[in-house]
Amino acid sequence: MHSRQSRQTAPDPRSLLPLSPIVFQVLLALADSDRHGYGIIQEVGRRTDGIIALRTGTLYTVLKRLLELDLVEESENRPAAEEDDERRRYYRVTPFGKAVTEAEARRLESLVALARDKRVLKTRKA
Amino acid sequence: MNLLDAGCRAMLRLYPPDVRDAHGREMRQTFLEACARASGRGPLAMARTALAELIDLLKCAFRSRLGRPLLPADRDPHTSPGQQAPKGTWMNTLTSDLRQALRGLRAKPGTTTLAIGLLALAIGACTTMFTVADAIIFNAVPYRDADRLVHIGIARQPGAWPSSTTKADVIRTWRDAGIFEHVEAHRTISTIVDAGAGTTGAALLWITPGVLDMLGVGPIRGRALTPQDAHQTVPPILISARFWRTQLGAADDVIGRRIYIDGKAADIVGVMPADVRFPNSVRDLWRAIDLNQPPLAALSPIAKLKPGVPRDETARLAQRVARDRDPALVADPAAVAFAPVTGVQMFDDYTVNATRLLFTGVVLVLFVACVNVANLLLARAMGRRRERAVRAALGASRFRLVQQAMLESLVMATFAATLGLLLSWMAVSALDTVLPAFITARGPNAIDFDARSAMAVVALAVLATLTSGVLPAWLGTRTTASDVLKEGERGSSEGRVARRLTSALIVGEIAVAVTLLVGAALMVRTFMALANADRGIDTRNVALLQVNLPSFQVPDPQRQETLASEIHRRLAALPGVVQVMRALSVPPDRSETYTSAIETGEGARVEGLEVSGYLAVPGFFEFFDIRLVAGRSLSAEDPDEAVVISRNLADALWPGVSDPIGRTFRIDSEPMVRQVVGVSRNVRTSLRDPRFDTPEFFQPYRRPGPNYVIKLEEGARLSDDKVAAMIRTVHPAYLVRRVQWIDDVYAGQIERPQLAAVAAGSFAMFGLLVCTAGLFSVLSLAVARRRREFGIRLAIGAHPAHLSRLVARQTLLTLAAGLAIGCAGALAVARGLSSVLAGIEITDAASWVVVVVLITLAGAAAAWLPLRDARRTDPLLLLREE
Repeated sequence: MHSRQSRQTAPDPRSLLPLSPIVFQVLLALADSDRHGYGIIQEVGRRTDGIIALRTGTLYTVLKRLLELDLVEESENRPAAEEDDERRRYYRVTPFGKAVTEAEARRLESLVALARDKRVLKTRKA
Repeated sequence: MNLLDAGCRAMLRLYPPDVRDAHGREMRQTFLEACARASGRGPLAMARTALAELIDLLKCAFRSRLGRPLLPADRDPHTSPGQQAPKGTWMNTLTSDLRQALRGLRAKPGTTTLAIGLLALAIGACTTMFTVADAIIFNAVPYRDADRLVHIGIARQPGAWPSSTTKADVIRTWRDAGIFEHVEAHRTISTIVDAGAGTTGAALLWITPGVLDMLGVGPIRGRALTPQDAHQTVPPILISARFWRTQLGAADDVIGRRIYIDGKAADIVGVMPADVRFPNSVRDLWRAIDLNQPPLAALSPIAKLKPGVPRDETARLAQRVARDRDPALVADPAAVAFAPVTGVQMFDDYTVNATRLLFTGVVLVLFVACVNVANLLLARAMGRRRERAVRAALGASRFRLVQQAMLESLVMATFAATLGLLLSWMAVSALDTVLPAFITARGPNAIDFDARSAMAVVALAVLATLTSGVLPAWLGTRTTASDVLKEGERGSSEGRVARRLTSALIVGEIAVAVTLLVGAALMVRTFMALANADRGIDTRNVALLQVNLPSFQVPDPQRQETLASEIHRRLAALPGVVQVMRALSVPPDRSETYTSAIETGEGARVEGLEVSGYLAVPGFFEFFDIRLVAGRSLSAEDPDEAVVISRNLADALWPGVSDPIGRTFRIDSEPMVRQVVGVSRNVRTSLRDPRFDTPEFFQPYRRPGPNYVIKLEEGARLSDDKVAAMIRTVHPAYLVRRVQWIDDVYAGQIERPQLAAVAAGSFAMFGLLVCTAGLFSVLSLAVARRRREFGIRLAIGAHPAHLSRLVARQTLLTLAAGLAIGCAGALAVARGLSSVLAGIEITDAASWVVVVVLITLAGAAAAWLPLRDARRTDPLLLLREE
């Protein structure tokens, strides 16, 4: 009910900003590939060097909300039967979810640019 | 993993149903995957991950219920129309109530600490006792389909307990007839085993290999036994985890090792888990047997019933095939009978009864503690009536007020339960070293703090909340603004009800403490009566040394005798040794028990008399100082027929005859006619219960016996190690048991009553202390409340002694009522108590006097300070306060 309404109104991605770090990480984890729940936990852990240790309860609280807001949807692409577990569900980012992720990334980017302008952050040399 | 899964499922139940339905299954899966992954990094990492995951699940469950915002969209209803941020959910209310409850508890730290401490101690004691009782009585045996397992055997008559062993061919018939799902057999023998580090005694369990499959147990290393194993020339055996640890140093290459059982080689093929205690305790060695070629004619059968077939019908069929096979064995009135495989039947009646009683006792202790806490809470609730009245005036419903008050009790009970759980966990861990082996090593279940214990803690916490919280919550919230306006005046109706209730609660508390004390006093008196009973035999400074020379090591009897005499000679030469005797029967262990009828020379038949027979070596009577009351003792020249009988046997066989010398009797099961040459004093073989102490007779035994009985000088001691070393110099193959003091053997018999008395005594003293404190607080409050009245009385000329009388009267009334109800309660449970009493009656005057004295002392202690306060009331001081 709710997701249909949000789709009809097609809200501005920026209305959902700022995203909490965990929501942003979940969306990033799904940005390049469809993943199941534990896959997301592993991806986030790997990408952040274990700094963000996502737990089951938190993950599904976030996923439920992302599904309701139409940022994420269930994916039908499943691995081969011998690698699959029927209890798993796979998730992918919707186009709207991609837009929100991008908007958040831009927001962070502008913040970083601001920090650079103010010389809080020095440009890292390659 | 099962436990973790259960924990995860429990947490998922806290989530709103829509979340559970949509994601429950995959959340479980993800949770288990995370835990499994962490387990690769070791058990600690897994425990840490599992805990963090469970806490996160719990946190998020609350978050889902509360509808806490995750995204700005959730905060702004305009961006997601139709989605209102939830407010005022019951979780919100609960959180604020919880905060309030914690504030309330913090406001009175003294009362709160006292109440939590009391409840924690009681919950800890209760849980510990429950864990013991659970292992002994309540918990099922940890075998597959335990409810269908039965011991099967022939009972002497219908309804009687089945015999423990049955002929192997009958067991085979049962198996072949297909009446049961499984029929297996086992039998334990003691052996001498050499695993490379010297010989030691060990219990060998013979089993038909199907036993393992039937029970659903198997080795943790190596393989199980198979039917072919029964026919190997070098038999494959399983060893217990204990044997593996103690005899083989938990070596990794244990499988395939060769050990020697009674001098014969055997190969280890597997190690059994530490927690398998079949049939009734840990057996060190397991070996396969074939029912067609049994090593012993009689074995203990155990069967699994077919599901859905009535037991009676199975028993009838089993009886029919057994009767066809062996008509004489199952001749009328004997019948095939089943006994369930339960833990409780592996313990003696005394242990089971005492455990039940002690568990009841400790629940009563919890009750006393709860009543006391109820009193504390009631006093506090009455003090907070003004606050409650204000809240009621502002529109809080009575239900809300009660709810909040109950929540306070719940929070307190939760703290107490957490502390109690910790206490109990520590106590249970210590039990293994504190409790004697007859409790810890016996039975199918080890005494461990497990999930059931934790569940008991939760149940006890709920019980404590209800018993200690309901009344104060109800009465403390029965408040109106007008009541509060009248505050300070005597005689407000709610205050009166609360005061009466407090007195009633204290009376109840004292009554329970009296019941506990009476029970404990009787148990202590039982122990004392048993310990001081006249044994009719002098066992002071007498030690028993049992040695065993395996016959496979020294087969020549003459050589054996030479070695035994050498040991005798060397023992006698040890410093401090007065005398050494080589005996066969050493009291209190008899050689033989006769239960058949006895026919006297005069033709009278005495039925139903259990008699002990001792084989007395020359010098036996003098050594143990067993005095004769008539005739003479036995000598080496006496024929086998000559016997010395005890006074109580003489009375049983020839009532009223003072001198039975020369009379004869014959035991029905034997052809020999025995002739009485002497009458001795009664020898107590069992201190446990005088009712079961059997009369005895002594018959001559001319050869030296295998046991060394050593009489030492007062204060002299024998060192186990030195004695063992000395004997091994005579021959290295000797297996030396510990030097055992006969007094210790007697003390061992009354270990159960001793333990029960100690436990009951501690519970009762704790109960007494708690109720003394309760009485003290009630009296103090009463005195404080009446200070104004006392002041006025003093001002108009009353003597301070008069005020003391007022307080003393209240104390005495409360005590008397508590005593009366408590004594009645003790008499009401007398039947349960009598099962653990021996040597004294339930009406034992000393016990009751002690209880009355103790309660009076407790009353005096409780009333002392309030009395002093009452006497010291200064009217001037009171006036100044006003």
